[in-house]
Amino acid sequence: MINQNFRSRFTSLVVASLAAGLVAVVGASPVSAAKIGDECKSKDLYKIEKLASSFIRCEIVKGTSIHSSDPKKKAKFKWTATIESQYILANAEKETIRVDGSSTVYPLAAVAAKYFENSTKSVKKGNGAKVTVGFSGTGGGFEKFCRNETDISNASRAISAKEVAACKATGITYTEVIVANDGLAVVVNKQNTWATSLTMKELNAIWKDGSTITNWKDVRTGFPDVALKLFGAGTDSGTFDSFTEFVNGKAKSVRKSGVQTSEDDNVTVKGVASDKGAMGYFGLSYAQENASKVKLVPLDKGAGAVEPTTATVQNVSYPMARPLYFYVKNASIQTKPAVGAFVQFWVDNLAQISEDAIFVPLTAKQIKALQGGIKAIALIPKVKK
Amino acid sequence: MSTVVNTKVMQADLRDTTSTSRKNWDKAFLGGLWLFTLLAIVTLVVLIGTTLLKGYTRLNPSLVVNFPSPFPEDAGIQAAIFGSIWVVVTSGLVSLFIALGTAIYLEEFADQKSRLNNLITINIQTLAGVPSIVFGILGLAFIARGWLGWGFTVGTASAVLTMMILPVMIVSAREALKAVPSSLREGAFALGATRWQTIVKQVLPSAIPGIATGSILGVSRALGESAPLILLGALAYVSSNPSGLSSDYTVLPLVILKYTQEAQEEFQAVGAAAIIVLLVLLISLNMIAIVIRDKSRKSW
Repeated sequence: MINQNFRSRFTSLVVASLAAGLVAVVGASPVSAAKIGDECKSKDLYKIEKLASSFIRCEIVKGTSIHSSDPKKKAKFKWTATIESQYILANAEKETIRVDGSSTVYPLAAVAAKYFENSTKSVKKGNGAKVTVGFSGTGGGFEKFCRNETDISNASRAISAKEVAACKATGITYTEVIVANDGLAVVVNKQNTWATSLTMKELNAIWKDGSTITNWKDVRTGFPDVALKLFGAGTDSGTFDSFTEFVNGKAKSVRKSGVQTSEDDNVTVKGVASDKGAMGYFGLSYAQENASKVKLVPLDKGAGAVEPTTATVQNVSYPMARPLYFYVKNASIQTKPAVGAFVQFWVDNLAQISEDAIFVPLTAKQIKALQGGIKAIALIPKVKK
Repeated sequence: MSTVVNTKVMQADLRDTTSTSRKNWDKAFLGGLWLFTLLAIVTLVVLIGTTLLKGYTRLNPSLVVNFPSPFPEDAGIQAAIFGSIWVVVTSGLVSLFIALGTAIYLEEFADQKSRLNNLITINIQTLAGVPSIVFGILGLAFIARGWLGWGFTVGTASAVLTMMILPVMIVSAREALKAVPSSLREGAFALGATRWQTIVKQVLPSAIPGIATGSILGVSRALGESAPLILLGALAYVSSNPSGLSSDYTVLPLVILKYTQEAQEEFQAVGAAAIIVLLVLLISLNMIAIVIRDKSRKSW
């Protein structure tokens, strides 16, 4: 009796919750009630909807960064008219686009992936293309790329001769794309009052293979007697390759002793912030994020000290400015329409993606060159409307 | 003469048992034990406390509902939770069966004096001490690539974690079987039971507590492991849960690693909250082990 009562009550509970769930699903499903000019939510950024025969897309209309706490920069989102090509891109087949490589470029790729999935999800009703992004380092990324295990490889340096040979051996052809500019920042402790600027020669003397400098007084006459403690990037990272090439003229050539190495930039930040005589280096965007904890040192390659800023990195007057790349496999673009669509989407929305991933964006000239180059490769075959 | 000396020594000993200096030693030793226990507990409490303080702001449903994201405000760990469950459950089940089989063979059937079996035993014990990254390299060369060629999938990760936790599970299962008194087996034999019946009906049920403890320890290790999985292509950004053994995946320790590496301060909170989720998962696993152990405990 009690059992039966319980059972009927349980059944009605299940039915009720199912009904409630159905109502919720129907209510949440995107019946496009929005029209141009309506506000949309930040999580819907780049969502595309079809309105009769035209297309609307949720876009940033005011402000720049979607996660800035600065009220002046805080973004506003509105449904905006968009071009048909964006809708076609979002209509890419349901495929998995595999991205791996540099952990420096990772945030950029992840933001691009998120926005791209936002737009395909809305058009393909949850059956859109999927992007996965790993962070096994520039070298590790190329190793997988040349073994035909990924579609896109992120890199914080250009592909090396050895990697070119590896790709050639497996018959993989690719296209190089410059997606952002990056500067390498040299950072010291906040209490370091003497190192107001450093020359590239001094950096070379500190970091070169065989260097024995362990005290600031040996770096430049006039510097105080403070022990010099060095923090470096992991040897598998593109940051390490770039830094050693900038400073010592040869990638991977660095002093053998007296450097504490870490793959995790946060370890370097903490180490430099806690030791008065410490010095470290990492990507400029990372350094700017941590400007409250460490001090960025202006660098001098003979033409006067240059502060590391967006502008100086873009015009390459800063001595340690480098481009960031991704490499896309040509065969993937031809056989997997989603890969081409993703690359085209990334390039089309590059400015916003760089802004939100906190990267130094490309200059107008670079973007123009890139868009010209990408249109030539990103043929998206078999587009279904 | 010698007897006299002996009595003197004995007297000295007897006197010493009641002396304050020996009692003080006793107290000091006990105090030392307490100190070390306290040290362990305080470290744990401080670790969990700081993590909680850092992460409590993000301990809300959105953390487990959302997928990994490059933005701290909507970053979640759903794919990682499901990835971890997939990997841990498959590797746990597979290794449990293999470990049980191996342990039963080595304990109940194998000739304990044979050289081959000694070699196997030594090998298993050595494997238990091999660093996890070595298993990762092995898996990369022979499972992900090589003639198996499973790629960077849930299946590969499970296979590697199985290899990694097998030795520990075999050793603990053997110990559990060893602890079953032989009188139990002899009693069963005396009543006419076959070897198989004895093992299935008498020995195994008695060994369950030990086997459960060992298995859960192994599974907990697999749950917290990240080193071999970085090598095996666990991803940082993936926006769907694994749907099978051939899916892409990510796991909790890896997502924690990625979040704590991010430059933005807000990500540290997400990382800390993910650590708490991992801790809760680990503790609930251990609770299951304790419940199984207590429910099936027997005394002889």
